[in-house]
Amino acid sequence: MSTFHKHIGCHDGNSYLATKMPNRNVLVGAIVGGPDNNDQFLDSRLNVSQSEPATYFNAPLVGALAFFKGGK
Amino acid sequence: MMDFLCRSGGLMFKPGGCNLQHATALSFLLIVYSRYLQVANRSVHCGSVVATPSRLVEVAKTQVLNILSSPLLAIEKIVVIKIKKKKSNGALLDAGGLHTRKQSIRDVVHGWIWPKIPTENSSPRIELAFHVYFP
Repeated sequence: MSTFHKHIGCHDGNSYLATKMPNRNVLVGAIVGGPDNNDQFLDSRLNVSQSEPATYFNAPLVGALAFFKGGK
Repeated sequence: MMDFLCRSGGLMFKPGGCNLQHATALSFLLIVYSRYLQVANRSVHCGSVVATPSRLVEVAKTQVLNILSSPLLAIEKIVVIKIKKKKSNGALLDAGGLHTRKQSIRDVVHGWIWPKIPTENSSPRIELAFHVYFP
């Protein structure tokens, strides 16, 4: 917020999607959708199902990690 | 369950949506159901196969370990990053430890992997690769 505090329009984020630069806000600790049925991973933001870090698979992984961390 | 496959690396694959949603959600559910079965002193019977509560946890563990640490691809990328750093600034970096040290959930959670994840100077490809395979 301190480095970018202006109003941003509905489509103003497209440039961040299309940029060749690294992601600006890296979610360290998150996993993305992962490899396909041939163990291939297409490294593209446009390939959402493989490259997005979403809550619906990060949440259950945290649950499983908590179980194994608990040592039971 | 017939549409489940297991890839050569051990990660399950089920068609539809993001693949890791299946590996993560089913791991979580297997653990929950395992604990329910344990309390009820029951097992799952499927034809001639009997799955005990501990077996269900074993299956979940294979998936979690696979997601966290097993693909060599990610390890190779760590080495690639180190080599690149050595070329650019001339610093001598240790590139040997990652090959030899055994990885486990405990190693990953307790931080020997995390400090090695670059976030500022690495390319999008390397960052994404890490996020696929590491927490």
